[in-house]
Amino acid sequence: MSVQYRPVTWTRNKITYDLVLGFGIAAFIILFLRYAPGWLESSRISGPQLRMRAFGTCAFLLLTIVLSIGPLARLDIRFLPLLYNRRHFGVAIFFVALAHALAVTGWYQAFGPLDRYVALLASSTAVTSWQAFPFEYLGIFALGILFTLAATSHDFWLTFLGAPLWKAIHMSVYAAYAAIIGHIALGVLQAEHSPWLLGLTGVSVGLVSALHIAAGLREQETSVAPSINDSEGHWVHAAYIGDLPDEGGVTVFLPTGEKAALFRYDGKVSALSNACAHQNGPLAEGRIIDGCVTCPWHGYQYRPEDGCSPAPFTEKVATYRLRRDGNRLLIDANALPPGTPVPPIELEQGA
Amino acid sequence: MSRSSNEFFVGYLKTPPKLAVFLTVVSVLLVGLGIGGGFALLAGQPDYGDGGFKGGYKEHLGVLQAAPYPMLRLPPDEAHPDGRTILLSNPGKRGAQKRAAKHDGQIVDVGGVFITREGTRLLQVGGAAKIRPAKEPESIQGFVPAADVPLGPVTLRGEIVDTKCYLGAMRPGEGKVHRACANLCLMGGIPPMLAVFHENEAPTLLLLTNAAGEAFDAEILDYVAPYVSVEGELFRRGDLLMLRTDASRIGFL
Repeated sequence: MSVQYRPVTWTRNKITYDLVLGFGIAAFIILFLRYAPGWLESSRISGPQLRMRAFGTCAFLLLTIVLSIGPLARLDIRFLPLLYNRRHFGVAIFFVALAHALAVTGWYQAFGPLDRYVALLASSTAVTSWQAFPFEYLGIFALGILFTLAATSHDFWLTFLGAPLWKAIHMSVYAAYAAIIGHIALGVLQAEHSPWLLGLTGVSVGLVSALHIAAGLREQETSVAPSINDSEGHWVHAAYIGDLPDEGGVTVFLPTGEKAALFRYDGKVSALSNACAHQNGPLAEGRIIDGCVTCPWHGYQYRPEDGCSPAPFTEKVATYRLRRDGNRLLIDANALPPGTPVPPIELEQGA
Repeated sequence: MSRSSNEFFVGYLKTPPKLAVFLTVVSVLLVGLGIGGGFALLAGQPDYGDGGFKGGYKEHLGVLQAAPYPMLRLPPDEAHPDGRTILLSNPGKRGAQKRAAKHDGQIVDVGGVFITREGTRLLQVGGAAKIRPAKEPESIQGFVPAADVPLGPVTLRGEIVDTKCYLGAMRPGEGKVHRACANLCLMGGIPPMLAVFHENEAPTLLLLTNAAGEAFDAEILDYVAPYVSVEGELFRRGDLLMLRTDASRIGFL
């Protein structure tokens, strides 16, 4: 959390994260450049082409990992720390992919009759042909997305664009991944018929798809709460009191399509929007720390009674009214404006 | 939530020790699997052959022919009863058309370095001589290169490549990944060839020309790299095979 913009608000965990990430990338590139020729049937691969493969392969593997982090963290919260600094991961992927693109244009598109950037677009143009399709276009498209995501990764853009738009823009990473799979399928997979190449590309697609489906299925296990309309609001079943964990949250799927986070703390229960004001992180998967709902993604905090971050921070999320109905709680599906105080439901001891 | 709150991670707080151990294991696994995966992606890739720049700078005496692509014709000898035909290119992705045009039909010295793969060669023109009127033409004075010998209609399957990269200026200098580079080479004037692959021997390479036996124009670019079937009329010029065809007689396999 921050009350002013800084290039990076460093924490010990971010430094560790970046060091591990940097070490992994450097080790991959160095080992690939040093030892890959010995693995190739033809060890005499040209240096620039070896570098293209090193950076391209590295970027593809990094993208596979970064896309797996989100669903992994939904399935097991122990993976949340990998998500914590995912933006640095994304920026690193852009630079590795850029190195791949520069290695390509500095070799395949260089020394020729056209400017290398003109050549990139003009040297292979058979867009209607499956066999001769210019797979470079898909790579350019993906690199453009990765650049956009890296350039708008800072919290300034998050605040400037608003979390929903920022999030929507950053979801385009899936379009980049799809384009890169096309780039590989219509490029190197057409050139080289190694079962390893095809198999591992398939493993990447299978892993990313399976993790997302598994995380999605888990979310669907909870059905939308039934409505109990009356004159005082749009009340729906929220949870049975006995099911509320101490200091943890419960997600409520509202008929409005939104999600609320229900928290039990100090013998009380309050409801907030499930979407963190920072990056729409799932607050219900967070914890109560120092009396505040704490987002599992980046630790943004909100008071459960009014959805406001404690001073000096200024973030706010929407709150919801709750009503007790015997051994269960009802929630008014109509969200209140962010930061609206709502008296919590007081639970008797042992409830 | 199945995990207790003492395993809950907050970025700006100290990482719980059990979680730190888990994250260390995951980090090692990810780096290891990533590097292992990268190397596994290399396994089973094909052999790009032993092509490359070989033999250093040398000068060659012969008769220059500018069409359909610049080439040097050498008279027959014991090892080459049909004579030799050496294709020429400039450095980079450029043909030697400009240099060759003013010497078409002349006896010349051509200096350069061979790019050689599996017995097929192309000479990259350069060095002191480049292409110049022969200093000592006497030894081949009177040599008249033989006309093209027609060998009949054929249908062949293979890959259209730019001769220079395929022979070893780049490794690999073939295949879909290299397609844009190959097209730039052809646009720059490097001669296109059809590589016909065989099970257990070196590919046969045939220079491609249009139906009139002239240099191909841009219509060939759409067919470079994927496997194609090419119908045409086969000719031999010296020891060089040439296939006259046109784009309508080339199809993807």
